Amino acid sequence: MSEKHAAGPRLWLAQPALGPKDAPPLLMWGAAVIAAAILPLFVGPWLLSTVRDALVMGILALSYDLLWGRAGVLTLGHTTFLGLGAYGFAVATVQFGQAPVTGLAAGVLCAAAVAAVVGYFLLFAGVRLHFFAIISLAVLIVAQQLAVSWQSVTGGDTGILGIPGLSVGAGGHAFDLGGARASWYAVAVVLLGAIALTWFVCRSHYGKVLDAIATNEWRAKACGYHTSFHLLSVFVVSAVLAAIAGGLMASCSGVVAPDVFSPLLATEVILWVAIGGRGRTGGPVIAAVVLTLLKQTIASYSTDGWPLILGGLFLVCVLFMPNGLRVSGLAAAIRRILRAKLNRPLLHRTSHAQEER
Amino acid sequence: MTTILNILGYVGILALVALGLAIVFGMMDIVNLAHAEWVTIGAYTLAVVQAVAGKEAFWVALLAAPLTGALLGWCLERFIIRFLYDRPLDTLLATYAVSLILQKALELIFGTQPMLVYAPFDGAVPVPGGSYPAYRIFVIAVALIVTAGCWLLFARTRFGMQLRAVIQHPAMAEAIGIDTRRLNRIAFCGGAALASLAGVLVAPMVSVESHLGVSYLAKAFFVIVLGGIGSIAGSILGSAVIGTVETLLGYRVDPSLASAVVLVLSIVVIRFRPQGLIPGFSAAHQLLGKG
Amino acid sequence: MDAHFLQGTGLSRAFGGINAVAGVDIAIGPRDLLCVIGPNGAGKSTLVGLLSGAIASGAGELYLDGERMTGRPMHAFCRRGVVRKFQGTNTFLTMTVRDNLVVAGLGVAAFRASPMPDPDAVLEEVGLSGQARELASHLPHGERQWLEIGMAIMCQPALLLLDEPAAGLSAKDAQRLVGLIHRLRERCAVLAIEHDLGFVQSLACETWVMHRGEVVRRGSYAQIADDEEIRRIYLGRGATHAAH
Repeated sequence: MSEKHAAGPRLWLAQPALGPKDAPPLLMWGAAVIAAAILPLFVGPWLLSTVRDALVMGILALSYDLLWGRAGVLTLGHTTFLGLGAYGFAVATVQFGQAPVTGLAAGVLCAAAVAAVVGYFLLFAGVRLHFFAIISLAVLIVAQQLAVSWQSVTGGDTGILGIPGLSVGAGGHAFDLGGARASWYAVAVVLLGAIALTWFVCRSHYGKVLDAIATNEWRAKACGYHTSFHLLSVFVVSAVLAAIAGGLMASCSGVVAPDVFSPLLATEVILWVAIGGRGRTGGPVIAAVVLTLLKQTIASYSTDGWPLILGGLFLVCVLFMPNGLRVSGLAAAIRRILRAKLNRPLLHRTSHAQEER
Repeated sequence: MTTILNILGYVGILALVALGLAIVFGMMDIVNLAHAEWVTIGAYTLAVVQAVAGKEAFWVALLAAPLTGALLGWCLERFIIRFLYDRPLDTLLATYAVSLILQKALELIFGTQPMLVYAPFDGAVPVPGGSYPAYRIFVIAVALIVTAGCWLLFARTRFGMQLRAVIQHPAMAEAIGIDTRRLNRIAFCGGAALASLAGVLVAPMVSVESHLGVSYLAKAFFVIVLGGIGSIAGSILGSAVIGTVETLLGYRVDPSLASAVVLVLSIVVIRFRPQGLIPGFSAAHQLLGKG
Repeated sequence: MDAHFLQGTGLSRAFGGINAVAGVDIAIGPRDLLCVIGPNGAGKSTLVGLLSGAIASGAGELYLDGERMTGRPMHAFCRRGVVRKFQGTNTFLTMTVRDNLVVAGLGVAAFRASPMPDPDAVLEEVGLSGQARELASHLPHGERQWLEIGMAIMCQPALLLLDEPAAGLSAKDAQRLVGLIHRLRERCAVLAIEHDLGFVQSLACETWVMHRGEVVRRGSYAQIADDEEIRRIYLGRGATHAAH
């Protein structure tokens, strides 16, 4: 076994051999690559941009799946990092006239810094679950308030306009990726690349470690893991990925406004992962794309309809399908409804703290 | 002097909102993210009552709002939270969904324009340093009396003792014959009623629209973070600290900066004293991984 | 005196006014085998908690290999070789048996930049090779105990703390465990707390008796078994004969 002899970082990333269970994800990824490559040939620029924006949300979903789906850290304010990425990109490119790549880096740096500081203070103090979730919401609300009031930098209520499209400079040549097709390919490459990387890492030993920490943190500590450190790492990486999504979003749409720090969108992100299946990398991405496109469609008919549908969908999902949309989930949902009808009294001692005393 | 009165007013309202949250959190391990919507509900009740029966109906609303709140709270507990007793994180999400739905529903029913509400009496009262609106003094008085009443109930009555038992050790309380589920329901409805009362009181002083509760939600949780879970004294102390800091800061700097400072303060407190200033020894401390 | 791996002086821990452990001195060498017995509430589990870093000591000092460990977090203890096998079972229920072992071994191996023990070999050692792909939650209690032991072995312990290892094991399994412990002694020190006096007798090692937070007797099992006062501690006054 190669596991025996690997040491250090190679040990963390050691992979099990490719087996039959890996076929479906690999095939689906392959199909997605092909679809992404040929779609621009069949679809007009407006529809392409719409789906591309949905793909950006897919990146956001992936980042949250890493944080909540894999590592079990629930937050209510994940769009903070989306917004920081977007504003970082916007400020760097518009206010300081930097290249888009620098803009992306600026956004990523902002998000990583905030995640590192807030994460360090909370996670290393042992704050988990409810309190972590609520403080993340508070951070989001404060971020939104600051975005509105810090007019000189953020443009206040109107936000920042005229954000340049993506372009990459290489060898003195500037490749403009701003057009509909080029930006589509750029976003698709980032999304598919991120999915592949996440799948690769979560398949390895490190994925198992994250699973263990999410399942039973106390026991993981007893196995010698500095669990707070690992959770912080995942938190920062997730923030970075969300910031990349934010930068791409800002660049593709050309504007950024304080409503990017949206609790509503943060709820949608949770829903994507809840419906797509926690920890099932591809599922949340697909859910994100589908639900975003659905939202666009509904919004064109009625502006108020979406939040109600979202809230209702969320409620149904939490009550009856906590493990995501699956056939077995539906069966479990029916069982749950029946059990609720029988109204069994439950002593609500939860099992999240499995300490030994 | 006006500053002190401002602080007292803010602290009083915060305390009313946070009390219910703290007790329910301590007793049931449940975080009700929809709690602050009951403030909105209280405010809207006032608007509706006054639209139907005129300005003087304020006193009717003062009774009607807590009752409405308690009733709606019972509905929430009965139809949603009861399914999720063994899944506390899912309760968080479900109540968050409920708050979204409530906000939107209020918008759809009443429109997005702020609602009209009237204070029951105008006029100012002379105080050292100037004069102060009589209504605000009334609010302070009601908030203080009700809070004191809650504390008395909690700390000095047999009922309160049972509540404390459930907070400390639900299984044990059940084993000695306390009907924990009934107590949970009572506490839940009581907390909802308190929040709605706060809504009625605060309505004439703010803009009554669907997002009214949102700002109180985060603040109420900060109060709990500072004050500790499951203890009334802690909630009162936490309200005092947060209320004072925010009011004083609000004079000097932008309100959003004031919120940011309070946020940072809470994060720092949680880092170094995660059980809060006056912890109530509730099982919910497991959630913080310490204590 | 050979250099002690673990040295604790004056270890104490009180819970709300009750002295669970009151001033215990303990020194364990690299290949020691030690059993701690005592009636319920004597403080045995608390002592193990103190030694593994799960519980902070209220007073006293703890040293591992000369390094001061007082007040350090639990994962630091594990990384330095103090590994605890929990009472009851505490495994990663949603993961397979083999993955449980891999996770158990990975952390320490990565920290020490040394290879991880072979999970399949450990599966063999604890007799769970057939269940490698089973979810831990599907295992019956006895087999989960073995999984726990396997996980403890994967952590490459220098001192293995066994918290009631024989609980729930059949007589045959208990004897297997005795054999395993004697084999483990070649690589690490073992401290076991146990209620099953037959098991302790089979181990035939140095035995300590704890009572009300203090260590009241140290000696070989034979010496302990014959001691009148120990019988009284276990059975209360007026007991005539401790049968085992």
